[in-house]
Amino acid sequence: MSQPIDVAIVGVGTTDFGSIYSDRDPFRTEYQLGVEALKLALDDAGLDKSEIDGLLLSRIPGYETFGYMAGIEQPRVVNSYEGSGRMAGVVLQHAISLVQAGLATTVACVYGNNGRAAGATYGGEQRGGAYNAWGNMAKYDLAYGMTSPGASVSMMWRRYMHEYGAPDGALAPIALSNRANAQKNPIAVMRKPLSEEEYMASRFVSEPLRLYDYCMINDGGVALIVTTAERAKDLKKPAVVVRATASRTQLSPHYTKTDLFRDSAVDVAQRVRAQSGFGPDDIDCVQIYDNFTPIVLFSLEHFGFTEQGHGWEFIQDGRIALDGQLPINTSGGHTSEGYMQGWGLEAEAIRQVRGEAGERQVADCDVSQYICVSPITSSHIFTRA
Amino acid sequence: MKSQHTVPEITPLNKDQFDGAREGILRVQTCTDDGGAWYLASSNCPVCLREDTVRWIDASGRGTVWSWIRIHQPYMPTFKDEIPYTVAYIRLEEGPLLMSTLQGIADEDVVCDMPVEVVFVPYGEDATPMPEFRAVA
Repeated sequence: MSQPIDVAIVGVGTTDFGSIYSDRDPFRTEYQLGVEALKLALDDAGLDKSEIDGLLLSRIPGYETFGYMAGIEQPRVVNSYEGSGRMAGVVLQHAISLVQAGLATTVACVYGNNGRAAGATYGGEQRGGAYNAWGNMAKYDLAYGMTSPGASVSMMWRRYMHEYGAPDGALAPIALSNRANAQKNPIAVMRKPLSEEEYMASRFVSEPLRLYDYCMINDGGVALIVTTAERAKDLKKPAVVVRATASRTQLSPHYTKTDLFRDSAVDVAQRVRAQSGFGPDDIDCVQIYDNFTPIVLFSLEHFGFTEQGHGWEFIQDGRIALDGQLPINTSGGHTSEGYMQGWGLEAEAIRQVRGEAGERQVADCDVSQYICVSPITSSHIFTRA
Repeated sequence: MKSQHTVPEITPLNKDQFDGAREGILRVQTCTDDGGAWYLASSNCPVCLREDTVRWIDASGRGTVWSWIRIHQPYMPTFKDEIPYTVAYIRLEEGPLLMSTLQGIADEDVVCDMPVEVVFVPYGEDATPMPEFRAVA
């Protein structure tokens, strides 16, 4: 093999989650949302779609249908990944690898989610994503009504409370901070102010987790375009590079892991730090996969932003606010911007280092990080080229 | 009530486990070469990948509550009338973890790591014996 080719991210597209939410359409498809996001990303980059020779899709099962709709009918590489949040990091990693290896030059990564239109619940007899594969094994859990990733995370959160003495309500600062950030994001779904009282009064979904600990269910699309550093030079927006990326998995029959994903996350944290030379003190903002708020604490601890068992204290006192020590989920995260299963967070990490996050821009943001702690833990560190 | 619950399909792979359950015995799989123990039936040992070394063994039926939750969301029609209901993640003495529920323990008395023991309850149309756990007397 020859030397890896240098790679850059040149296009970012996100649909207007808020306006889509207020205009509920049961016929809206993941394909049309993906096409819309792709168009926005192409415009953002100043690229013509004839240059796309790699197409990686997630939550859009039919790549032939999508290729037909997008008018990208002969890409060199195509694939469709399952629609689970853990894939957001994976798809971007694979796109980078394809360009580095010369298998494709310009790869569009496209995500479309019509979960709200389609009535997705993320629980029950028919789950989705990674859970379809469990077959008879899933029935051992369904017998007890055990279902949904939220319930699995709730199980870990109860254990965390037991081990580290975190009180009920300890997660509130995450939900409140996400909402405060969303108020500065014109495309966020949930922009009404949220108070601690409202948070505490919200209903339990899987106790001890409340409604505002949960990601929302909304429709939208996100697209990211990856190409060679060479091609990136004369495009519209400042090129962003992935200075480090890594993943590690924990594969078992339950989303609940008794180490709260520590084994895999610590390994990923060490590898992105070693590759990039950037440790927790160098990160200007971090976008953390928050399908459920406890995952933010697990991420902060395993990635070394704070000590094990102290994440619930770290998030207090405005430390994670836009002007705090470590701004987190600056666009509002999954509980307020919208649940694009990690893709919206990757888009935000890129926009922050480009300096184009508008009212929610973190001052002097040179280094941003994306973290997804899940059965496939992944992380990227972004800077301008 | 539990006659409507989903239950695992009984196949040649897991039949011994349910035969044991009918006699009140919790069974787990092990490998005669590698040891270890696991709860969900597998056709092979995950260490050596051999099939002929896999055996069902009687577990003690004792374990501890690793964690537990109360589900309030009506995800499944069959649980609509039971909301909110308890799900517990149990660590068996032999090591394996399994999802189950607790019986005869008030919410305020459940704590992580409390010792529990198995009791089988008929689930589903065919009264499949499924493990539940109660406080150790």
